[in-house]
Amino acid sequence: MSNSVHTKRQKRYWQVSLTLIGTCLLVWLGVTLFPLILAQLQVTGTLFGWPMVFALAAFGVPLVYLAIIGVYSLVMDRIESSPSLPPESSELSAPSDEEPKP
Amino acid sequence: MSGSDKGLYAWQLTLGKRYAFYALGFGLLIGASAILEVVGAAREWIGYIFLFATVVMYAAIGIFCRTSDPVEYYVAGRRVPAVFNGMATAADWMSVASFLGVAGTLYLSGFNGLAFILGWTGGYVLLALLIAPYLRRMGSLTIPDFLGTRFGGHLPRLVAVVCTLACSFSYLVAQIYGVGLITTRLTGLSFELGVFIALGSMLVCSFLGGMRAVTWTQVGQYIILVIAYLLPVIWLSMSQADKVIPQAGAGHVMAQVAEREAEITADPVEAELRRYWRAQADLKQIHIDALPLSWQTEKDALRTQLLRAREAEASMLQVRQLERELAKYPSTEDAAREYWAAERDEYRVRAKPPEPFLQSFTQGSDGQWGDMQNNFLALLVCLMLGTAGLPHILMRSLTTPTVSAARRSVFWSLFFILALYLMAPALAVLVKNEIYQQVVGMSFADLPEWVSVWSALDRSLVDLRDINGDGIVQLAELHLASDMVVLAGPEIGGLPYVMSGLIAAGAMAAALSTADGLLLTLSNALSHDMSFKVVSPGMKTHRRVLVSKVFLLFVAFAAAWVATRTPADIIFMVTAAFSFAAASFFPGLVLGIFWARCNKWGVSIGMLAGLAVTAYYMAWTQPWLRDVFFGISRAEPIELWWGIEPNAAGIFGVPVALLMMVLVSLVTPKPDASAQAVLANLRRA
Repeated sequence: MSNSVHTKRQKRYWQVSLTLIGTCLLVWLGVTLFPLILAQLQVTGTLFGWPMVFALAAFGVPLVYLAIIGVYSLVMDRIESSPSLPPESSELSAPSDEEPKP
Repeated sequence: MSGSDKGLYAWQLTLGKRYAFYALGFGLLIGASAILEVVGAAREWIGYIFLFATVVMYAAIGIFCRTSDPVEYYVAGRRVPAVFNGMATAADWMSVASFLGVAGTLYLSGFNGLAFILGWTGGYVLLALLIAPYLRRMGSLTIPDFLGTRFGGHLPRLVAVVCTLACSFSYLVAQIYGVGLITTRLTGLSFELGVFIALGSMLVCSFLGGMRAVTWTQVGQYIILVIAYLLPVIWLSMSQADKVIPQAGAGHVMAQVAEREAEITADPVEAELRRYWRAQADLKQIHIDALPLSWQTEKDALRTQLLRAREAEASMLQVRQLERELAKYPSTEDAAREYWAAERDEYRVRAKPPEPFLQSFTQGSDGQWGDMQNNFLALLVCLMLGTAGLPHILMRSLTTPTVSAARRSVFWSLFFILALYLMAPALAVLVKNEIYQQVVGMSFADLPEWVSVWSALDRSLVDLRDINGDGIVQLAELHLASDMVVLAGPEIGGLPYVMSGLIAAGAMAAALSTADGLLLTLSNALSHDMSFKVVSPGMKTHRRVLVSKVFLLFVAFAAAWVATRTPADIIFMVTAAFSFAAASFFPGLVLGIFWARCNKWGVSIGMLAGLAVTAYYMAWTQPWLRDVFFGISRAEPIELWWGIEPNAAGIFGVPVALLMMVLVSLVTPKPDASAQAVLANLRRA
């Protein structure tokens, strides 16, 4: 496989992916550490009856995790829908028409 | 493109309808059992109905999906829509330790239990960002296959097979053990028979239909386990706080819990009992110090006690208790040392006052950074990286139709997992409230039935005895194992027995779905990557699947054999799997995708080094393993490195693995042109 087939946009795809992954990882790290820092600072207070730090860590952080994955897949879908990218090689074995049974 | 989109949509709709009917069927089963209970059927029958009806349903799906085509067998034909793949991953993920353990750990250790929730959900972010889409883009059939194709040569492939065995086998043994335990408790069958039933129902799915059957069964199992978890929690919340949303209900009773806790801590009777446990722990220590002499004297003392009790015609209960103690008396001096050390540790725990529930880092005094914080972070890192590196979870991203669907599948996986994990803290609070308000302060004469039922099974599960003889239950007299919080939760809350059967069926579904996924991961690695790719590449297609099935039987029986002999330490076996995955697959896959210079020597040696360091630390610090490998008695004190517990052993393996990968890659030749081409394809660049 020769490297001369690279177009500028294809190289950009990997660069943009890396930037997006890096940003998401930063958010992920910040969100993970936030309640732990609050816990270490002995922050008190309640949130809907729950101890605040506990509630943030138990309910808030996992929901932000879910949001990170959601945003990441939506943005990647948009990037990949760009017509200048060649089709995915492995998607050539797309779902067959024969309907399987669960 | 739009044609296949439309086809996919119709396919999803069909699947949705089928599973809606399935859920409805399960709802009818719950309703029918409820009617049976009202009519007055025996409790065991409700247990039998739940157990066998669900197992038959799984078997039916498995038989319906039988196949011998390799792509169907290994990756379910790569046509599982993202939502359904997410459900299957969630079921694959929810092991019996996760289903029963999360709420139980939160109940017992409060804030520190959050390491599990954060670690097990945060790992999915790493999976979605760093690994899953690239696995799918490569189009490989197994995880060792991915590493073999990426780096070229047999070495990385075989190393990955070894790592798969390390991660998945101990996990599989823990699952089979769990199923055996649940069957035994639910129906009263013997443990061996329980394991055998579990084995049978697992094999029907994976043996006949491979990944295809397992995928569609796992979707069904997810539906059962989510209903089984949500229904009792919502019911408890309704009965305690009149709130439909359990988190709101738990928040409502939170103040009550804290108030009662302060009362219990200040109560002089409770303090007296805590001193009793401290004395008992000290007594055990004296016995241990006086070994080997004390082994004989204690045995004689127990015999005399029993004789006296019989002569004095003491209560039946007391005589039984002494008889049981004598029957369980350690058979050798070494066994006594171990047994008493375990008892001493248990009594020490019971001697502690209740910690302020859900408050953060309470033991670490005055905001000082200490072992508790270190262990929390270490466990968090191991669980996160392990989640993103466990082969049976990674394998599930190979079954989606597209790369985009692989990403969305991880989103749905976490979504479906959160449906349970967000309920776990609420369940822990609601059960704690029930114990504090109803059980503590109750008269021993009108104890609810669950206490006697569970403590008759095993005193390590539920133990409640009137130690100070005042006829009233004190908190320090009650011992509740962490699994009991979920398993006995409905009974503790006074819910009908149907709910208990339902929870047990859910735990069973959790164990079976994980065991099926693990079984396939192991047998596929052995057959596809070892037998086919390395030993005899000329194998015919149908023969490959046949070999896979033979390995499957072999692995299943080996795991069942170990499960019937294993010492009961499920949680440790599960955390060990996470540490192994964190120190081998995670660094290997991430560097393989994101660092072009990484070559086959680096990745192979790095993965083995990570695995070895992790295994060494576990063997050195876990009492049972240390006994097996180094011949040091289990009662001896343990030397930890920087105070890190053995369950976070991966924290030492991960940096070693990364370092070795980088160093060895840099001193060995650059990856060749074919490896670079594979990588370019992976990055679409």
